[in-house]
Amino acid sequence: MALLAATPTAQTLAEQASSGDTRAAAQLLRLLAPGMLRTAHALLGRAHPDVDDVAQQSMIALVQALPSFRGECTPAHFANSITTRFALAARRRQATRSARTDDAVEVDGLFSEVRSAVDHVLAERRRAVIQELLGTLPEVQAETLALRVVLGLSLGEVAAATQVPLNTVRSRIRLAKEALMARIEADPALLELLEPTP
Amino acid sequence: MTAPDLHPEELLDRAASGALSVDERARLDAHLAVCPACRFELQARADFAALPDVAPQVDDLVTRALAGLPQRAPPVRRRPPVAMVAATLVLVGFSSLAALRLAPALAAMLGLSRPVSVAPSPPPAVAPVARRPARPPPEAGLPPPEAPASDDAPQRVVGVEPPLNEHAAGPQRKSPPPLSPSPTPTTQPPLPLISVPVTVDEQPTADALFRAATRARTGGNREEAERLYRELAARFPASEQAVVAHAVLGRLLLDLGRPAEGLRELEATLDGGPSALREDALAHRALALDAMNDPRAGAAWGQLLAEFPESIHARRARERLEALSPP
Repeated sequence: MALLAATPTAQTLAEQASSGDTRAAAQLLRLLAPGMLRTAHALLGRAHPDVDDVAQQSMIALVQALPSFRGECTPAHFANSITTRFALAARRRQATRSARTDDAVEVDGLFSEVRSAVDHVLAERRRAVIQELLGTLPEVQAETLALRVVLGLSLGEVAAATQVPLNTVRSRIRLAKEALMARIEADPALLELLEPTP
Repeated sequence: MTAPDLHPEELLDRAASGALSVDERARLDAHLAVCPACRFELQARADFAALPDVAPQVDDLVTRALAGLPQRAPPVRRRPPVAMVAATLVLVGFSSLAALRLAPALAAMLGLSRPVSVAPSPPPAVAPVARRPARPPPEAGLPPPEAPASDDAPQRVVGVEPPLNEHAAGPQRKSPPPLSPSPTPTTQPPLPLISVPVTVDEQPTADALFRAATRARTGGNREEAERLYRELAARFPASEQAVVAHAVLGRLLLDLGRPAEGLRELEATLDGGPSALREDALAHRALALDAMNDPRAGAAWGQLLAEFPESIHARRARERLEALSPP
């Protein structure tokens, strides 16, 4: 995923920033912020009232956490994993207070100049199913599934970003997929959202 | 429905990066044929990857984030063990030494004339941030962990600590949050009306009109978007784009406080629209009727529940039905 591609520049900036280089910290934040905001949008939907706050809080947390960053993953993955946790927490808060969230059918997501309109509706519905599922899973499973499906990280990248063993990542993904399977079984109409099997 | 317990995650990774060999492709295809969860994951990955970038807001957010960094050092400057950092760094609002050193200088570098005040200890979940002036006060950042961490992730650097037992918790079949109760604006401040240049060819296609309408709408020019959606629906009534245009226009009009007009568009969506749009259109049709105090609202919510009992709007529908039922 191009958005998350690690660059030597980001790594270098992270090292400099973690040692107190203010200019490097500012540059790093500007470099990583688009990906963080995109992550917040992907997890919450663009119309979610907390999306900017989540991005903003995540950026603050990133700068605060830099001294503990040991380079086990890329700075972009580190930043986006922080955003993922904030976004999932925001989603839970919203579920708790039963506030507005029709982002699952968000209008903005319906459009693109690339695919047909109906394809985009289907894509939006699939995203909505994942977003809804993330709000019901235990946190660590939700985080793992989000990093993998929403941010497109590989198994190894998820393990590095969450600092857990690879087998733990596998276990969490398996459990999350069981929940996804249960969701599909409960609503077979969701199968209509899928493209034909190869 | 039967599906294998083991999912070929490595193959899914390689498929996502386009690195599958012919043999691997065949193995993955065989699995996908019997595993809807993996098919869903694979397609959802592509769906999320296709989301557009959102760069324009970044500078403002970065500036506000930097302004919101803590300004004062904590009384204890000893670095805690890594596990303690993991548990507390972000969630408990611990201000790391470097961040504290960085904050004032960063703010100055960005030309912030005065530092943004932050909450003293005991800290909230996350240090308060400089916020948009029109927004209400935040809840306290990330909520505190609901349970102490005993997960297998003792070295998490930052983040929300997991519940006690992820396996025991299992998938909770919570109802999703409800739909907007009425076609009223969200808590977001209104977007500035931006005049977006909208150009359509002299002989526009359905796709060109659709794109132009989308550009107008996302650019804040809702009047132009409405005009273009209507033109699309009138010129190309049998096109896929027209079906979606009816649905989007219905929501747009609902948001603009014109539920009667929105209702007509939503009903046009329901007349022959694809099933993927039907659930959403039914929900918004019910909302429109609610907004009009139309006695058909109850039946509309009931229809939504009857056709889509697992709908993401189901909870809202049940609440409305209960509210609308006679005492």
